[in-house]
Amino acid sequence: MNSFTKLAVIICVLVLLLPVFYMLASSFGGIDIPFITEVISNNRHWILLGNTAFIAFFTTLASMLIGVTIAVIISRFKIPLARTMEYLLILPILIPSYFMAISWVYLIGVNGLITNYLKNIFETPWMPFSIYGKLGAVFILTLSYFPLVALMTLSGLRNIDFSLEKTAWLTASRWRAFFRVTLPLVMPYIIGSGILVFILAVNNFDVPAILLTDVFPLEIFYQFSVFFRTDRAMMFALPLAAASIGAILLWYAVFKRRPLFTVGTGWKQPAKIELGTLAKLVASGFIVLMLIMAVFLPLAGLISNLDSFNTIITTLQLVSDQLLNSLTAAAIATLAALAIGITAAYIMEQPGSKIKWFLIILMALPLVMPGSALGIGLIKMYNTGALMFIYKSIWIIILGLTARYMIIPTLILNSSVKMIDPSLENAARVSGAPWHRIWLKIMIPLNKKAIIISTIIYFILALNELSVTILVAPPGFNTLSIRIYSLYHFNKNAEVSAMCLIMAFIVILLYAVLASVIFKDKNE
Amino acid sequence: MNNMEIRFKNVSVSFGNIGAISDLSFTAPAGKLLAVLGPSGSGKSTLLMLLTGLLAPDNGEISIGEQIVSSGNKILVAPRQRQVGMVFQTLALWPHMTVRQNIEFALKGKHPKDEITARVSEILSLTGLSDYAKTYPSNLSGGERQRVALARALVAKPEIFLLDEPLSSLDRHLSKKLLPLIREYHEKFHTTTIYVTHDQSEALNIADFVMVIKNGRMMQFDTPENIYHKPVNRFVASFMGDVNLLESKFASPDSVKTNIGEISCAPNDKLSGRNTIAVIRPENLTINNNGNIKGRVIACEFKGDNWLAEIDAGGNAPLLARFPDKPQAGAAVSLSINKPVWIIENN
Repeated sequence: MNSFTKLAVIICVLVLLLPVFYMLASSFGGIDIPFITEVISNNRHWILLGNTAFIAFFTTLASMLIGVTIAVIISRFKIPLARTMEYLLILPILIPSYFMAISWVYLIGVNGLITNYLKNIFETPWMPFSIYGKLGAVFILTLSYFPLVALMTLSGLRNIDFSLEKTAWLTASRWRAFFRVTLPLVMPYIIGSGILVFILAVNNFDVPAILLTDVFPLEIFYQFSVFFRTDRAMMFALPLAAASIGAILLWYAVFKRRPLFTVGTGWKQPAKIELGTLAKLVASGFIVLMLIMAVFLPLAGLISNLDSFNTIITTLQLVSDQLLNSLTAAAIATLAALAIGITAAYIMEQPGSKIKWFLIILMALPLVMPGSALGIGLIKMYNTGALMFIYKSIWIIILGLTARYMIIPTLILNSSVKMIDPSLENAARVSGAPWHRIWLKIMIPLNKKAIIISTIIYFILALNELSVTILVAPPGFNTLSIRIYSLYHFNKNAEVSAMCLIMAFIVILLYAVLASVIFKDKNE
Repeated sequence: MNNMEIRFKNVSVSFGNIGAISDLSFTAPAGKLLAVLGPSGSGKSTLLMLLTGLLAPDNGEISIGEQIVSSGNKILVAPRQRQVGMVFQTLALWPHMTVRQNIEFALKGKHPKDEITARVSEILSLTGLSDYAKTYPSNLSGGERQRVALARALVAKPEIFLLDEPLSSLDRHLSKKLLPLIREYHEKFHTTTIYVTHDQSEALNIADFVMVIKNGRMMQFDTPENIYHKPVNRFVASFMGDVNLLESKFASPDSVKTNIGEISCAPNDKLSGRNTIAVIRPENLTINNNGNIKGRVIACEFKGDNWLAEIDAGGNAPLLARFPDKPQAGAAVSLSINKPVWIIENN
């Protein structure tokens, strides 16, 4: 790869980050004493802060407890269909959290399927639970994020040289060896995944919006789109940005010398422990229950809401433009993010490269701050002068989608590039081949698996994105996720369910391809 | 095919504070095979990276033929334009390509299709790989992979040919079979070749010249015979195999005084009057009842075709000598030196 390409990619990353910098600069610029006094004295702000912190903290705690338990069960105990369960764990990550929230509202909301059923049975209008509010948000976000902890912890457990634990077996029980040797070694992965969940939860906008809970990310959205107070919206983004950046720095301290993701592992895995029938039932039952709540019940809730199968067909005709917009924007953003991702991943692994963590932190910024704040940054950047053509077209959505998730393919591809022996590339370089041929014939085929995985994951995430697109989408360029969100607030339950199912169908189809790629890898 | 001379002129490169190559100057003669020999971390592979252009020097000048390819901290000729063929230590065979695809990669886009087919077939036949053209590297044995790597490096008819410890991952038996093959290719193509290794016997066996390096500095550049028998310093003498290094001082132009007596040596006026070291290989000590070196066997080690014994001859350290049969520990032996010893400066 020549220096020109490297420079071009770094410039692309900076351009994508401009709205973030703009947003951060604007929020600092608007702080003055009267504003700080008002913020502190306004009780509503403390409620917002309390809600946001409550949701982020308890979502992180619950996701870590559930995720680590599942990772340990899958990696260390013999349970039926462990491999299948592991691959199904990817699904809740790919299904957008607003989809999960809507589905659960249709199940246990005021007029939910289960709520009505229970009301009829017990002949009472009062229910002991509610999906709305802080606890409901924690419940939904935990269902969305616990698989992140489970998969990252699993990756950590598989990255550890098992002989270290085995050595401890000589002088300690298996449990003691696991808790004293393996768990501390895997702790960076657990803490890392917890930090990631915290960042995602603290910035989540759509779940609190659907479950009617006031939080900072939602306030940013309202201040900008309802009260047209850009300055206030920006300033509400500050504490979230500070919390997220703090969390990234903590992540950096934890993960500095370790891979963030792994594609395949080299260490020999321990033989799994046999469990008694009851223990096996409890262990696998727990994972199945979590998967039912995170995947199958939401789907069932949506299906039960349809009047007939025809609703899907008619809805599909109705939203074909939005679907096309979603697919187009997601496809272009995916291509752009992949090109940036693979180049950045390669630059990070160059001998003597000192910018790896700097690049990672920079590229992670758009993901770890509220999507609505990134949206406002984009609008402010491009709603002016010569750049207006971007603001008025689908390109603003594409820019937002590319910036939002670009760190994900970068990290996946970096882990793949790192595992490839540099002499494979050097052999091609000294053979006399030009750099583009080296990339086409050597580097891309060698990283093929990671490229396919990144492409599918990115496409799904871009397709599902709501918090940025809802702010930046120009008239006539609505996406399917925006349409779902809008119609939900108009109580068009059948149409919303049909649209969610169309989205779910696309996600599951792509997921099947993804799983086949990963399955193939494991079989090899 | 052109025969290109390779020249390094005051080349230095460092990684952070660690100097990998320090002020290195040498000329590899055109059409000859130069073995670069040194312990791990001595800068051997770095030297090859500099030569390929995958690494820029910090200072100095590197030339291939008449062309300066790197100068100062600049790469003047890109790796792909240097006409270099290289066999990497890991072999670096592309796992997603068949043997044929691996070999023809360097030719594609540069030559007509017919010529590529002919050249690939020729090299496949020469390396005995014709039957494996459609096989993937993962399905080949270690020796076959080695030959694919050689074929891939040679097919483009490079002007210089570099081998980075190509046999280090193979067992001794296979290495012994492949070493003559590499020499044979060299005899056929007469390409200027640099063969990097940490194995003394490989270097002595294959090379026209050997360069010994340590900590990125050249210790000696000479023929294999001279490197072995006439080392320039204590490091080269020890690195090339078992050796007795005895502190000495010239007693006459052709003899030195040591603590096992006066022994005849190769004359060296420059070292007269200085503290010196007499270099005696174990095979230069012969069992001889009339020998003037008397001693007792302390211990011995089986070496396959001989026994290497440690002998207490009254010096500061035991003497190493070879015996055809196992000597008894404690047995008295008499030894003589069968040729004038080589003298180096003691510094």
